[in-house]
Amino acid sequence: MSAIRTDGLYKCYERRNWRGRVVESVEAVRGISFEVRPGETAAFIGANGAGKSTTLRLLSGVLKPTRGQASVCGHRSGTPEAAMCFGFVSGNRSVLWSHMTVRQSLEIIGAIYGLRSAERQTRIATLARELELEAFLGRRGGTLSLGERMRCEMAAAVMHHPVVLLADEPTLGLDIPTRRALRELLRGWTSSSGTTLLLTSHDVGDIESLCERTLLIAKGRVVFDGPTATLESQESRIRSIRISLREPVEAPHIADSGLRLVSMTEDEIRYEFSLEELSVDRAIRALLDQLGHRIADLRVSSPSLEECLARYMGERP
Amino acid sequence: MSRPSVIRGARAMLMLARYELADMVRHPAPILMRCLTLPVYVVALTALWNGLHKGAGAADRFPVLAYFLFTQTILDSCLNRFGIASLVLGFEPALSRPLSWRAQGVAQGFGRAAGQLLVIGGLVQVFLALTDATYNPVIALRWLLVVPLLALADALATEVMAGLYVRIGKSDSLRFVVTKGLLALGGGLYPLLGEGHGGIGWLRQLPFSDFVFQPAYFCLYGHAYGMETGSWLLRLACWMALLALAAQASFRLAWSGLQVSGG
Repeated sequence: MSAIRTDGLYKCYERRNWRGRVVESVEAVRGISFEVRPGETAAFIGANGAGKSTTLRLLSGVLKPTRGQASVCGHRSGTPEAAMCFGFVSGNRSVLWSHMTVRQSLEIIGAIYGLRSAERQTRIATLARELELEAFLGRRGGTLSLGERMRCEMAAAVMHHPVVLLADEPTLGLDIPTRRALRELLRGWTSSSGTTLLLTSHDVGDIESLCERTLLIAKGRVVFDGPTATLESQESRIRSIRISLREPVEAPHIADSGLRLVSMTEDEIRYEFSLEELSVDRAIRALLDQLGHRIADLRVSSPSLEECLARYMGERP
Repeated sequence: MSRPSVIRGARAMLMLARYELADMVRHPAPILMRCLTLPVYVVALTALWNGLHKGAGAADRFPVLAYFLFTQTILDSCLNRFGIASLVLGFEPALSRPLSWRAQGVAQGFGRAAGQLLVIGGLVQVFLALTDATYNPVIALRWLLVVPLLALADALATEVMAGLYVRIGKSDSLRFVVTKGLLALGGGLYPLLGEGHGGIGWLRQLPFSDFVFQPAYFCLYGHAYGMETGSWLLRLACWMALLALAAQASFRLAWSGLQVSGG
């Protein structure tokens, strides 16, 4: 049985006038089908407005699909049975009660999911230790910093031992050390508990460090679905050359060499080429012939995951 | 994990209500700050009453200061802005939980309203005990009896407002109309126009009278004004059933709004 499954999931937002006629419609998700196996960690990524968050909200039962189906652990999304199986953490929306202490919020959430008093206390103590929450338990949700709040949001999401964790940009707005700490927590926690993770994020670091699989969505459709490492290797035949200049030059066009000018500023030029068309030494020789002593520095690199993703999203780096 | 039973859901609701109530009682500063205007209303309305009833004899029989203290306490506790905002913020998270937003909202609203009524009502009792030689402690017991009814009504009304807020992004204008309606027709004008002047029957038929005037009157005299206490309670039950229907309709509006706009 799949931990997460969608079949032709389609969601269209329709604004109607007072007569009930549709005056505006936006297709947010266009027939997405995918499965995530139990224990798998998958990134669900795409540009803003691609339909990632809508898909997660459809899976969590917040939204109802216009067509198609979404299920969690074999239960149709939106049912209490499905709600018992997953936890939801979002960088955009807090599930804590801002005027209550973190402990009270966790207790209430535990009670909503049917944990008995003793279980709740044990679970809160465990999570407080694992997520280093001891110092915040007695503080009100509204008084926490973003980093502190996200740790507490994590605790709230996993309070009831969910089998699936849906994480919608959990590192949004966090500083680098806090982001890294939260990633470590998520990684340690998913690997030790075997929890399935479906993560949306614009942060490539989240994807690289947390997800073995990547689903890339564009304009409401899945355009890539495979191991995260494959995403990079598909672009591994591309090389980029950055040249730092001693003095400004006219944009040199190196005819028929296989080098493609990507960007140019007063002190830097960037080219790209495919290894299928040109070897690295021939590329460098061609550039030296053209620019010679004006080159201050030269670096050859393969594209980063971020650049690979940008290509898939239809951008040039 | 199995689906939580109704009893477990009820336990979660009780816990939510208990924490809200405890929060109100432990941190009364915001309520007390809002109560700064209460004496102004009470003094103004008492002066107005005494002016209108000069020489009529009714003022001597009616404990007007206590009455206005109770009505203003009820008015000051109803449709709390923070309570509405809290439900609005909790709308989406609640939809992904195994306990409905409506159940969470009623529990939260009940606890909050009960907490406010107990804090302000408690202070009113202390004030009356210290200043009014004729004060009877039974009044405090009657107040404790009406607090759950008023808190439940307020929780349902708060849900109506919160649902409308989620749907249209604003409910403050309506909140203003309702609270001022309560003030004018339930806690202010009715007794001024009614008591000692033969009463204005149609005003007594309004929910404002049942939710503000009658509870205050009940606390003072131990029975409803102009009708059997049972009839008043039945009327309260009917109004609350209507409020519950309105809250359900408001939730459906909010939910369908989220489905077409995405929030």
